[in-house]
Amino acid sequence: MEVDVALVAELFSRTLSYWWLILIGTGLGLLVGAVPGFSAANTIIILLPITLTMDPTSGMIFMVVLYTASRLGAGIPAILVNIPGTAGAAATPLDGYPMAVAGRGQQALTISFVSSVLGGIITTVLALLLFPWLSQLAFYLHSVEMIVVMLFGISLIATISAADMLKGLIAGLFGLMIGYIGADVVYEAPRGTFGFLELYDKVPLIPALVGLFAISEAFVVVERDTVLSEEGRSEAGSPGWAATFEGLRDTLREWK
Amino acid sequence: MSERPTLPPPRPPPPPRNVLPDLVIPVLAVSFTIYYLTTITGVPWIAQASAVTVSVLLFTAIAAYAVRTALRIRAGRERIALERRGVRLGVEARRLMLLALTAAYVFVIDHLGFTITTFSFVFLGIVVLSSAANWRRALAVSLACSVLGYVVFIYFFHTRFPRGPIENFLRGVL
Repeated sequence: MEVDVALVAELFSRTLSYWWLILIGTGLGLLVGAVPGFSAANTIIILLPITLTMDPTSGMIFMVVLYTASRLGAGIPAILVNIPGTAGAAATPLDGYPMAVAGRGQQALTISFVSSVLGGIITTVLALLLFPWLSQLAFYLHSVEMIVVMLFGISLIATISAADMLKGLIAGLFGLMIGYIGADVVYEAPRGTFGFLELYDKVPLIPALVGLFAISEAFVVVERDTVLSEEGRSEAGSPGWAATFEGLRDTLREWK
Repeated sequence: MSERPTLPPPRPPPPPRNVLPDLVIPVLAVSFTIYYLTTITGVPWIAQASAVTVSVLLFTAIAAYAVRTALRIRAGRERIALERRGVRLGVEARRLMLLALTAAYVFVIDHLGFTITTFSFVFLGIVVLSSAANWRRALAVSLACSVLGYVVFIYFFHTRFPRGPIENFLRGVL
């Protein structure tokens, strides 16, 4: 089939004609995504039976909308209560939660939503354009290259996330060691499982994330009445659209 | 003859920083890595390779950190001390209760099911975090959480949450 502008425009307008389904899927996805621990994949699996009653186009649109809205919704608990419900939202609380504590939660949510949507659109367009070359790249990436990428990631964590590079490096390598818990993929030999059968499948990421962030946050909240700081309480006392537009302006200002 | 301007007195050096809390992760990392290495002694080399490489890197980083800390302690910039200042018994008790509640939730949910356990956990959690005077709000929030969880995830989506008396009863009725 010839892919041209007319075909893309037709597909775009045809997808938009399902606006009612997009609205339902977005609402449902945001709701489920905001529940910590419920990943986008889980949401789709749970709602899969509903799509069986739909025609293929509706089913596909519903699932894609559900997936993207659910990923978007994961930012809500990450920003407001410092609980990233999914791995994708793991970095969101680093900047989002301090903003919420300072009473700028509305701006943080707007920044998260707008930048996620814009990032998603730009990435989709770029991916469509670069697919021929990206598919070639897969031929050159083997295990050695993957380890190099992994070590590069660890060094980035150490450099960026920690004020003290050595401590960041120790934390990153310790995280890698925890990632090695579980049965070996070739010999099924249990490694570092403390005798728990549940750990044979490795440390599950989402419960670990929720436990690390949520429990530690709850321990901190015990000391005070609210997650908001003193200034944050006065800042958040009068919510309005102005804060949303401020977040929108902040996002667009930092477009690069 | 003009008076020479006097220099401000030199600032006293900052007190040495207590690094005891910073040692928690390195100590845990060393303990866990040693344990991990003991569990892979009998497995084929291919199943050990990457973990051994990372553990060597980890031990090297921790050794460098230990040497740096020792040098700083010698220079009087850091210290290791067990401090009891700032510990508030009420806060610590609430933290322990929260920890106990979380552990209890994990153990009990398989027997009592999602709805009852979630209701109890949220209710007691709010009471522990705020105070018993807020029991009405705690009751409303915990009831809403457990009912919403049941309706959305168990009734509509048929999620395989742990089932207990409530779930079994409602399955027979609805």
